Amino acid sequence: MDAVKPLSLRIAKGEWLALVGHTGSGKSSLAQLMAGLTSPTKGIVKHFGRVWNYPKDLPIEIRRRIGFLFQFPEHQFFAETVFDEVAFAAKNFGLDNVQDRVKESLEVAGLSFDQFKDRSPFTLSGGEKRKVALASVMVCDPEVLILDEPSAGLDGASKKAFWDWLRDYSKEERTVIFITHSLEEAVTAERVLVLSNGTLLFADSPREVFSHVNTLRRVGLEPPIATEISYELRKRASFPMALTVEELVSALDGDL
Amino acid sequence: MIEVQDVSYGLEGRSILQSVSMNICPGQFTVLMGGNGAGKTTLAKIIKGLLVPTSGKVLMDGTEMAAAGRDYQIKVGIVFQNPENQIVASVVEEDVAFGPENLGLKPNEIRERVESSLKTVGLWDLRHRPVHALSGGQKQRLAIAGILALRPSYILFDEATALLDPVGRKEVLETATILAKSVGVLWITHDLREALQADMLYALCQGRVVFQGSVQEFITNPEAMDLANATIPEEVTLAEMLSKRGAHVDWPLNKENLLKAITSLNLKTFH
Repeated sequence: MDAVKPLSLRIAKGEWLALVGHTGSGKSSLAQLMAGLTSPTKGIVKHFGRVWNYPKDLPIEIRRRIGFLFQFPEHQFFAETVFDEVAFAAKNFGLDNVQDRVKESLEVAGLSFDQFKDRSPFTLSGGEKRKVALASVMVCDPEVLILDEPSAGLDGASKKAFWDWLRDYSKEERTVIFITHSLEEAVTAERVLVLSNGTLLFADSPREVFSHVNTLRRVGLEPPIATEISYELRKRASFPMALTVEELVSALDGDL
Repeated sequence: MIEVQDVSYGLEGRSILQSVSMNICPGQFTVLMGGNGAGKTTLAKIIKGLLVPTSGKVLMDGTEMAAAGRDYQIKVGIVFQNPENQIVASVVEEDVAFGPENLGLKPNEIRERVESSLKTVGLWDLRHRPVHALSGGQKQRLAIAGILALRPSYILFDEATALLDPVGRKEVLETATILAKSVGVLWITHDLREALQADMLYALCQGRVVFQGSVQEFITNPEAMDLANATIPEEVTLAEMLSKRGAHVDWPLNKENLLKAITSLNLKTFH
């Protein structure tokens, strides 16, 4: 079985990209291909303009430039303290100022350095584990960041803080590719890729992609409430397609 | 009724729960909210009897958990976050039969319970399927069926939808909603959208109960929302904006009720 069917795709430097699809749609496989963690059975993947003989010969410098957060990051914990867990990659890549880097990336992930650095990652709550895993990717300051469902398991406030931070991070010429089940999260993306059964259905702006409400529902995705409602209203009269509640309400206001 | 009375719990010198009291009533959908690390899972494990509180007690229908013994374990089921971690057999119906078999029930009784449990969660047609071929939502429903086969009075759902896609989330939440008509459900989440139908809502912050009341009271209490690290779902924001414009919005806040509220506004387009 092909987890990902033939597709061609170019992701530019600095892009902010959402990858969506139901469970088993091939999102994670595509993300791992993008990260150079697996090689395609057919076709090629280029990183930074050239084909590397990966996975095994991908140079360490290239590896450092691509950060990857796994879907169940807590499965890969091994260190005795949060500090060692987060510092591991930085030390391995021979980076300097490890302590500062660990501190900064923990704070970025929303955990206090002083409170958490000496704790065992295994005794943390589910959401705290997610944050440690994120910090352990951020510690190398990657140019390309690929995140497999980064906000799953985070509480509301942590989610919001995380997305705010990620937006800022991506503004600094970094490429961010995030996988999500939530089309509400994908609304912010410059481009949304929709996968279903390994096939790329859409690769376009959220506005274009979200206008296909029925197709999205059919492939197990749930459009945001504002989009659902404006879609229903559009059946009865001409009404603009809204992606957010604010857009929907301002369209209503223009009509009152 | 399950009564949690003044329960505290500490680990490695850190206090995780402090004087927590709450009730879970039969036939009700009780929600426990709280941010990451608030103590939600620890409390769930104490209510299930997997952890012993440092102080305080848990009673079921007036009897203390310890005194109720195995009866308590059978009456109170728990569904965890990760569907992969709570399935024991390789075929759907065998997994559901595992619990009743261990109770030493007669084959006829086991068959009857497997059938009714699988029908309740909508997996009867998939009873011969290998469990690895199920989706995440189906695996969680299978876990629920395994609990139902023990004829529980209470079911705890500890972030049971956190790792599922929207379809799976809906399946599990709908199943829990139906079950809450007959058993007592404790639904643990940090997603306020999943709490909108709660009969009673508790919020935890750093191991303490910081709010107890209705969902409507909770979402209009910014301090409690803040302490629970909760954010307002888009449905609620939209409902508030529509109310300000004179529309009456019925609960629960779903697409149908919101659409009804919008069409009740005097919109030019729809004249």
